[in-house]
Amino acid sequence: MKYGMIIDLDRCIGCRTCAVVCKNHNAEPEGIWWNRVFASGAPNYATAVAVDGGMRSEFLPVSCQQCENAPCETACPTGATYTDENGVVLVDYDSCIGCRYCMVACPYNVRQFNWQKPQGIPATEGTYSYGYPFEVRQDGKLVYTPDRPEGVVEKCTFCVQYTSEGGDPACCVACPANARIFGDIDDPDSAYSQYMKGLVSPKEPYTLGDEYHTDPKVVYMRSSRKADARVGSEGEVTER
Amino acid sequence: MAQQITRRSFVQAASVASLGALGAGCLGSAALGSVPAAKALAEEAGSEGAWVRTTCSPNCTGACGTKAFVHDGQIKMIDPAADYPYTHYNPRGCLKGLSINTLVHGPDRLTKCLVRDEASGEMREASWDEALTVAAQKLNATAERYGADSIAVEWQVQGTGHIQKGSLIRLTNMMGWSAIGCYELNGDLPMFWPETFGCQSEELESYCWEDSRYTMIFGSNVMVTRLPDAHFLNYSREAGGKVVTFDPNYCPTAEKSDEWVQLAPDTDGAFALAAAKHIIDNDLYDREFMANFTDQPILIDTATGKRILADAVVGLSAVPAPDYRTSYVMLHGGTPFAVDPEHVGITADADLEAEVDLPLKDGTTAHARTGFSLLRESLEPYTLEYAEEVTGIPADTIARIARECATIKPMHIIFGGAGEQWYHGDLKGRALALLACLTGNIGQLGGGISTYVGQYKTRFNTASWFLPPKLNKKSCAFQYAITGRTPEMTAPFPKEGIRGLVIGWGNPFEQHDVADWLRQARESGEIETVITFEFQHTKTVDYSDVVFPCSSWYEKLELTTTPLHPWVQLQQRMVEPPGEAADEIWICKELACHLNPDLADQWPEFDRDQSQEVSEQVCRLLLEKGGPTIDHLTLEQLREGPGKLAHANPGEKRIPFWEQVHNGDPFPTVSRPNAYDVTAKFVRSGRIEFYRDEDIFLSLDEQLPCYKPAFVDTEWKDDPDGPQKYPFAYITRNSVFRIHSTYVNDPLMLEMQDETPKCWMNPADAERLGLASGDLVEVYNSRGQVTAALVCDPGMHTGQVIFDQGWWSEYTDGDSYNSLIYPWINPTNEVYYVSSVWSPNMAWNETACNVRLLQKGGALREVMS
Repeated sequence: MKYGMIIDLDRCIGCRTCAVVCKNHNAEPEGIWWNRVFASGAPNYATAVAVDGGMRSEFLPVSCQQCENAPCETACPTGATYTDENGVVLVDYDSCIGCRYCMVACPYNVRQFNWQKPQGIPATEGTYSYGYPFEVRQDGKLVYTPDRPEGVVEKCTFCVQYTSEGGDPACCVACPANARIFGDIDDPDSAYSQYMKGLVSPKEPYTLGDEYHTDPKVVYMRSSRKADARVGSEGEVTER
Repeated sequence: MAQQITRRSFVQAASVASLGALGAGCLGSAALGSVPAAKALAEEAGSEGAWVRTTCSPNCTGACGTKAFVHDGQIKMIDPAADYPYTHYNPRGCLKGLSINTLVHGPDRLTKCLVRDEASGEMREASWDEALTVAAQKLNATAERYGADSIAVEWQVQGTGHIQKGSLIRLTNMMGWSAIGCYELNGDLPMFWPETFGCQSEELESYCWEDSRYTMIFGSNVMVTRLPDAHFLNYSREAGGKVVTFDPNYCPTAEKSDEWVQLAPDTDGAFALAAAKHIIDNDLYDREFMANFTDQPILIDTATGKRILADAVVGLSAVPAPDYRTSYVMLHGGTPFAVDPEHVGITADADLEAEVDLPLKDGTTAHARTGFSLLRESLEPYTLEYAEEVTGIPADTIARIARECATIKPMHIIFGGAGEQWYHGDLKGRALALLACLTGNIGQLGGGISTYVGQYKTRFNTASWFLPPKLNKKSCAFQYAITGRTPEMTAPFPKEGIRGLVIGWGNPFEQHDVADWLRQARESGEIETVITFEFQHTKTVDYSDVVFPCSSWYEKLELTTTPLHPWVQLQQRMVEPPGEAADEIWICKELACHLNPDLADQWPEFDRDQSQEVSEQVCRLLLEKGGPTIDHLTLEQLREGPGKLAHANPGEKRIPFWEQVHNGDPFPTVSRPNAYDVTAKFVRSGRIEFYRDEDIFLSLDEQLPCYKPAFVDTEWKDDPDGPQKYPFAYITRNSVFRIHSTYVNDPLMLEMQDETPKCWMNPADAERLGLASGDLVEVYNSRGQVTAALVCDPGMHTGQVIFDQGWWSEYTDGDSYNSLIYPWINPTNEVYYVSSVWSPNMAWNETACNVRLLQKGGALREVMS
């Protein structure tokens, strides 16, 4: 069993639902986003980028790439970061000392340090805490808790609270474009394998940052959109 | 007060007006026991929590089946329910709806009644009894002074809820208050629909998009505003279909299309007419469809511009038909005949292009031409070269796309709010509808034309709950409150004007085009009473006299539908309403009893803690009496999951106009909740009408679809310096982070936007004004202003300033972004009046503006991060 995720950029509509449900389900405090959606080259959502004389707004969701050869795991001095039997890279909050070596080692900039941000949000009375409300331990290691300890590094766990029970990560469950596919890489009948074979929709797969030899288990399907769109009369005020 | 009313008296009243089912079953012990109240759900959940299904249904048309995880009396997270039997509908949901738990339990929730304190003028907390008493006193006093119709009521997007929203509708319909047609107040009413097809609108449900092989999108940013449905366009592409987006700006929908066609703002009509001319000139049009189903073979008197009546022609007599139809004249091989307006699809051989002298019974002779002959002539100016000049689209691209859309079937046009919400938006819609008809795509799976703006559609008969036995039903066209009465108006408007407001499911003092006018009218005392039903503390709450705290859609039972999919769904109570918050059905019943104790017999008798049970009974009533589209569904089925509405055509998916094109039924389709004859008169020929011969259309030279440019008849009409003073179009587009003004305070949405309202411009426009990304600017015109952080977007067409709508004014230094906007009334909208079908409309985008610098680089961090 080895979990993998496909993100089909031809289907991704850039809506950020994956980022928001990730935050909501995983009780991520203000300022922390385990999953972010970029529009490549654009400083702002819904802003186009001039590419080769045309326009593009390619959406790119990025979370932990769940590397087979994870530099964060190698860098961790305490063994807090480890790969579980399903191939998922996790952090044991109890063992993390907050040295942040892993953040330096990660080429994807997806690890985030919890500076003891305020947890929960203001409510009509007191505070309200969103997110999966129970601790998750794996062989005694604390791999998820809604009550975040101070000074540890956090990141995507492939929603260990759900996948450990046979479910899918929240981002894959909620993606309204069906652009995120999750499953067992080793099982030829899994949703992951079927999609990878192009049985659902033939697409060209690629991974991020091949130059780092990290062998990610998050695989992207290339967008078919070409920057062939015509640029309008830029530079001229439209006559009405 | 309601407690004084016996159930017997209610049953007696109910039995005379098809409320028997409700009255008889009301509060039976079996019903009480069958309801899974929130407390029971919570107990079932135990310490481990439980998932409960409901429906997310704000004003977005999504109606997404969701399930929430309830733990310790709170919603902790939300997932799509993903239980639609047609699996391509799974999952539904978006970043907003799936994080609404932050609002349900957030700091802006209303938990107590609020009443304006007479002494201090401030809002203070009050008991239900005091709030209801004060509200009733104020409403009664206003009604006594100015008439009951001076109290205007708005409930937004009726289709999102029939039980709770239906309660306010029921109350309004017994008080003689003026119901405001919010569909037109919001500018969502696409006037080309009644003008062309005679109905409010029809549309493909989104799962039909995957059946289209050619999709043209105008003025609709599907990938932002239709998130749960957007993937069906991707599926169309994956199945080999082509998606072409026409938009001035490189929006996310352009990114996800096969082709982006950039055109100048508000010029869609010029493209459509040039394409129509190209299709006709190259004989690519569906002659049989045009002859069978449209008015194009009907003869027009060239002297008067009027259609010739069969009864007026020597040797002819009208084919008998109901009063709302007219028998006109066509030619067959040059011989005139009277047309049967009750049947279509029987005139394939009628002469489509002809000119004739017809002897009339009054002794004169009419020179007549067919509609299609006049159409061909009227299209002569719309050459490819002219369209290129107006739209900026190269002539050869227009010709290619015209050929593609005429030859690839099924072809579907999506014409959205950004295209429609202009002063001449109806002309654009008529031109695009012409393309859909010339290519014979009406009545075909995956073909036709659709407008998806608002959750407007009433999909079953709602009379059993909406119409009380003691009926006193009125409506008005609200825009006249701002513009004043016009010579052409046919719509009712209260003699004493609008003096009171009852507001439900809306935030008009922030979100409406008339927000500024409302604030001023409130401050001046012109509007003397404002009563609000709300679940959050909005700006409208601050302008109210009395505020009733309401249940959110995770706290009550409600029955929902949408135009986008065929599923009837429930909202279900899974957590208790906070504090004193209550279901609207109880509030409306109590308010009615406080307004007039004689109205108590129009309502079931129940206490606040029995709201769930009574809502359940009303739900059963609505289903049982809802007619053939819904009466096969039961409450029990809906508790299990979505239930599908029935439709007439064979096959899985409903096909608009299938009955007309395949059975020969006349146009229009019914526009619920109106009776058929109320709207059938809009297309008296019983056909799709491209030729309108009402006097105002003739005087404006709009009898056939044509192109008219923006602002000439509005902003710049009386001001020759207008184009210099206000050279930009002010476009208030929908944001991915909000549904209008809902979710603006969702902390997750705010964080993603750096809590900063932004506006967008083309970089060349900005540079000309000495502006750059990150500058703090003011967008203004003679009516108002709003501040924003500037973002330069090279994908934008020049000549526009875009502001993402929905920001509460507490985020924009107190200014409403709607303060720049004015409700221009197009006189063609005034020819008839049927609320939310043919009515004065709102053209948001018909707003000219300019921009000035407030602070250089004042928002650089927020914009460039």
